[in-house]
Amino acid sequence: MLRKILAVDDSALIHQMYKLFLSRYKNCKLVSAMNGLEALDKLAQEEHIDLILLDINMPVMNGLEFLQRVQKEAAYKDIPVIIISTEGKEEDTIRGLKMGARGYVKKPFQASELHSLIEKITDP
Amino acid sequence: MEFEVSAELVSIYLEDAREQLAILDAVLLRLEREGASPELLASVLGPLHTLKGNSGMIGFVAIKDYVHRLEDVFARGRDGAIRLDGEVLDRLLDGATALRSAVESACAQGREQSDLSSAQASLAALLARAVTPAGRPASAAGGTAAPGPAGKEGEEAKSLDAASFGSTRSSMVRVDFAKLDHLLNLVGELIVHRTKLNELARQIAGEVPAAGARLLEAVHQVGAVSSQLQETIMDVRMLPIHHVFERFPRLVRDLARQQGKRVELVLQGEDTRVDKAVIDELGEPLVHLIRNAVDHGIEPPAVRSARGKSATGTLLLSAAQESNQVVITLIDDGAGIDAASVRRKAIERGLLHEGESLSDRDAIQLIFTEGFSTARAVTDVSGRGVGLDVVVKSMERLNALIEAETIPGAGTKFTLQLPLTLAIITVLMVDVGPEVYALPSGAVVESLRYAKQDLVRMNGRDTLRVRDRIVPFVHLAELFGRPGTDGDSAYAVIVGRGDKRLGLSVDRLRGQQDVVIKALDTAVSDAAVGIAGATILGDGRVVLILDVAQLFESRRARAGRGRVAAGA
Repeated sequence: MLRKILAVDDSALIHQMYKLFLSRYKNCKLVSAMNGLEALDKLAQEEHIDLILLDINMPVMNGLEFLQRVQKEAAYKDIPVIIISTEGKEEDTIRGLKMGARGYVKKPFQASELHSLIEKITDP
Repeated sequence: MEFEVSAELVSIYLEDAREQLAILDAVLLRLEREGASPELLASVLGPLHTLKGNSGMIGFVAIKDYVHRLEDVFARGRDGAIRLDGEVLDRLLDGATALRSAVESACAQGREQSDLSSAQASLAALLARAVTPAGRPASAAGGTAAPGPAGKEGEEAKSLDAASFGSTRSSMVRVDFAKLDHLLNLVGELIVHRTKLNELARQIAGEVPAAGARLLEAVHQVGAVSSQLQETIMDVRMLPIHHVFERFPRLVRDLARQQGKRVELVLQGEDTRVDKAVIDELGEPLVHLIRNAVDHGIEPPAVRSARGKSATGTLLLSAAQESNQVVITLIDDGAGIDAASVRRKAIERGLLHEGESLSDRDAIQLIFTEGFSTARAVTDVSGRGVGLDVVVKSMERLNALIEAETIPGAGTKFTLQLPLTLAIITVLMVDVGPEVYALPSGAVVESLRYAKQDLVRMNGRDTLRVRDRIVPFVHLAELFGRPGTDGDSAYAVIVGRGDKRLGLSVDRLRGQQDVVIKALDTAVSDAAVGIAGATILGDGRVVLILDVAQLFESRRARAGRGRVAAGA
């Protein structure tokens, strides 16, 4: 059962949309970070994260560098990561998938796309 | 779309988009001044990318596509395939303008209003012309390079990171401004109760000295903390005035170009911090003053050269904090304002009687009067028939003062004095008979003692001579239907509104104090002319805060004519 999702994006709008889109999952808590560094902070603070939604293009620490660090940590490397990519940055998505991301959704995405991917990845 | 794009989502989108577009403008202007550099181009790519993603999510497809093209152009600029200068920059600047208006109108209407197709075509033409680096075909989509060779991921990710933005760690939280407002109100209440507590503790100390002293000490500590709390909340509401100033370089550039003038805008004191509520009100009047300066102040290059000035005019916009006020000045080194032509125009408009004498300094202030405009031809810059009275209206809403000084041939200086905040104001407490009233300190020019014989009766109304100026005079006791005092002398508080002055008679000055304004019920405020709000003193007494703007209005109305009665 899905409990905690870490959403990493530098756009306040996207965070608001996650809140809207993920409200259908009861008992699901959304943890937000504005960049990779903040996301590492949140990983350390939160007891357990079930899923990471990861934007690539972010200031301070981008998604790929964050992913690389997460993959190196035994405690985090099994947390499924979904890359949220944007048109024109396909090469980054491919790189992220090679680095161990479990799937990707392309902005602009519909709620249903996100839902089906989340359910495919997290529901055994 | 499967979800409804709520007003909340649109407002989040818009707030971000405005920031991103401001960065775009700033980068384009820097490109024009200093040419392209990888760092400069990288600094715009991140925000554009976010704007593209956001636009797509909210369903503004044309905007998203246009931003995508813009990204391509900048990316090709970075690769050296497009030279970002001259005509290319002009196109990009036009595009940025089109994009801004597309974003604003889409947000206002909740859906896209323009398809941006001509702006889009203009960028497509640029991309098509791009030099192909090392024989690789230039795809119109650009930017979408092939995935890098495997094994280099780490390195590439690093360089991408360094190029993205700076390396400041963000510890920012977004907070709804209304919540801060509420917080401030609560602290205001706290401070009122603290004062009350203080007085109680004093009484107790008189009766039970030992316990009373300890109580006073404790109350004092609570007081210190609540003062700090208030200061901190005020500080959180403050934003650097840069938020207002940042769009002016672009404005000045466009205005100057449009009119074939050369103008350099110099900004000073951009870090000066002002309450967000003031920031929100400040943009429009400043735009107006700047437009005026470029339009009517700065001369065309040929005229300037003929007058022995440098061909490029200078506009200096500066902000500085002075005690609890922010002073903004706008100085141009243009033609100045001709007092004689202002007088002539004022007579034409019936604002001034022929033969009425008025010093040059006072004549200049007539430009702030409603419906006044000195431009010989109405240009499309400052807007048709809209004069500086618009600026005066904004200044009144802000409880601010404005003044103009000019030296013919040398230039004009506008000085704006604004309060740091609108929620808490410093007031001057005055006694009028048995009542206590509060006057916003921002509107108080000076206070002085006067003798009855200093009052001069003019046109059936009292006026007071203050040095070289004759100031209309109002007896507050009379105005509020209280018995007047009979003494030979009393105090006069000279208040200002825009450039005008008005003297108010009071019995005693009590001193200044910071108070939190409470709005009056409309039922009360509609009936009470001249009252802006109320505040509660520590002893629970309600003190009315006088509305200086309304006092001017009522004086004017009672003077019978719409002339600048208070402008003498």
